[in-house]
Amino acid sequence: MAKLEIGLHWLAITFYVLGTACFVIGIYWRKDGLNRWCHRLTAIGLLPHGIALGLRWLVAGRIPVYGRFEAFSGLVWLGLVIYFLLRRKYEVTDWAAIVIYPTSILILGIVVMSSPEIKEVPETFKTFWLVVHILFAKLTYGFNLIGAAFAVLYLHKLRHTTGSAALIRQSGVSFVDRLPTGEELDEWSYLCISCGFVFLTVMIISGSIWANSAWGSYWSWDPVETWSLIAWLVYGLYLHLRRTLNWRGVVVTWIGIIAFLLILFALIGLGFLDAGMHSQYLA
Amino acid sequence: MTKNNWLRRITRVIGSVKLASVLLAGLIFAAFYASIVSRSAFSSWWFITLVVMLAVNTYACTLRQWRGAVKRYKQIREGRVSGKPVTVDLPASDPADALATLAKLCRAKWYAVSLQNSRLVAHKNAIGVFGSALFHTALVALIFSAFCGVITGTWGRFGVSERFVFSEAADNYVVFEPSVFAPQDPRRFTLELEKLLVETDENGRVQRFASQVNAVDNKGLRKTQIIRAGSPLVIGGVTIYQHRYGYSPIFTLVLKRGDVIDFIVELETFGEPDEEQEYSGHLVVPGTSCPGYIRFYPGQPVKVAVTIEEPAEGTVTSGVLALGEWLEFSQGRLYFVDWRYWGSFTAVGDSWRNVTFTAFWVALGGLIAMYIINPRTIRATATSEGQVQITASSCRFSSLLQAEIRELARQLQSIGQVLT
Repeated sequence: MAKLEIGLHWLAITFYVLGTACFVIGIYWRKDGLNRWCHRLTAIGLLPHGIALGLRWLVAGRIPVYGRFEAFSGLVWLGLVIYFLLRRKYEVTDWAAIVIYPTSILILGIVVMSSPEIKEVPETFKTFWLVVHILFAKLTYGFNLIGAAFAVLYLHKLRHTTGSAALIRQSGVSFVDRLPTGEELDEWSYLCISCGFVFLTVMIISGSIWANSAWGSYWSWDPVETWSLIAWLVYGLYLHLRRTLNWRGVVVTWIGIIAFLLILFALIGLGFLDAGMHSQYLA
Repeated sequence: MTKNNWLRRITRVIGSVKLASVLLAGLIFAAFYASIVSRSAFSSWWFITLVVMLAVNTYACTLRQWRGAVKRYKQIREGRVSGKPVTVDLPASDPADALATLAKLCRAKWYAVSLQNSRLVAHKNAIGVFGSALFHTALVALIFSAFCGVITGTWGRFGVSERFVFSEAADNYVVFEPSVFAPQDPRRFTLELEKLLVETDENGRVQRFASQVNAVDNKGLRKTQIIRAGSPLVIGGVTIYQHRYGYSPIFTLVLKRGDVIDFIVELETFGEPDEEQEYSGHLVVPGTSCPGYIRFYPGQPVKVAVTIEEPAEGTVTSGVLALGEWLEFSQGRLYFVDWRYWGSFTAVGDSWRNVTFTAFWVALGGLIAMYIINPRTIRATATSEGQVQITASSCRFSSLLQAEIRELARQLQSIGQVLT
């Protein structure tokens, strides 16, 4: 069964890589037909990826969220599903694929290199709060990834449409000209980060409630807890600067990107270091 | 400058968002430093001072926020929002009729609509303006109650073996020892671990564990309950959580000089007990002061590996013992006579817990109101030039509002109310 799961993951990676390649080629060489195929191929990739997760659910007899293999795979799958749901309603989100697809491929790379062994879930994990906590961790990742993607595109746009770069660039032919306006990119980044912030808060609160019911303590300065809190504070700073002090531009956008990198570190990076209470979940 | 002016100025500085941003940045660097360099910094005076300063700032901000929120709420109900407006002019064959249809479409999208004299005013999600104030109020309450909980509450961890008789408690109960974190003496209960229940699968891996306990509070009220993960026992104002479990091998030491000593060694597990772990620990052999080391193997048959060092003799004696077997060393014989499960519990006494818990949920509700419930208004007028002019505003996310207005215009076009 493990071989089948790995095989399905590789199949999904193949589709994601093909989709990303189509996207990059379609954008830089202006092949609109390829652009359409990019999202179709990635959507096809979601199928074997989803089947692999479904099989894991069936075999393990529990929701597949425990251990690096399951946790990261689910993170990527749900992140992509969120992206496709948003894409269906808002065309502008098409552009975010340039960051989302490569990030997903990289994380899936970690998945196929980690052990697919099914781990037993400890007693303290058999609770309703586990589902809430982990579901919102994935939603946090999904929305903040899209927010970070828009932030990167906004910085790219800003770099090529202001100052000397704008003067030497031929207008109306490049990738930058086809991007939505800087204002629109910035607003979409803010919107996704705002939603992501709410989900991050739910993740932290549900984790605290779970910890309290399992171990009698809301907070224990566990590394993942601490780094999630740091990311939350950075997002809080971003939102205060953006919303109340009305900051716009490079600095505040970079704060949003840094906050996402902190989220990635808390959800993924710490699994390779000392993750404290979360070590079994992320290892 | 009058005294009132000074006060107002100080309150404005203390409650400013600029100060909040500086404090937030400071807290980020402090948490960053503490998590990398030293975790003890989280309980240092400067970290707590930063948190308290942020709480004071948030409190001062919140006072001002409520006033502003009430004002904005009234404005939205009158169809006025200070956000960036989205304007659309739609040519219509019968503008008044198109306006009536627009009113219907708005009602279908949960807008409160008023239509008078060829003028439509619609608003939605006005309650969202209270989100920020609600969130920040709950945040202050959360920090305050957590702080009070730490100061006035108790927290401690204790271990107890199955049916074990502690020498200092002749009545067969274990007395809770307060931890260093809780200066108060929380001896409000006694607890006996009657049985530790461990369920394993066919491979011998632990599926569940729970503790059947008898507890008595300080008024003599007796309670028998099974404590499992997520299902604690509440007694004498203290909540007792199952923390983890381990094994307690029981030994009888027969010394050559004639003494017979029974003793038990509690071996705590590290991490969750269903993993492959070491059940091991150091001991001092009673009556001899010899240091030793024990490793427990809970398989079938149960075994225990014992190492005893005798520095005076310069010898190290070790052996693996099954039940009933003994290890001979220079000062006597150590018999492995029995073993029991051992439970570790966390006891928490926090009278502020309900306030903290409620503040959690209120903060979450405020946050959802703040970012998900976006207050917005639509104003539309039917002009004599055969046009419907729509102006919409929202507190945030004008892109979403643009998409909504575009959708409304498309719907009006599709039912033939406005011209393409």
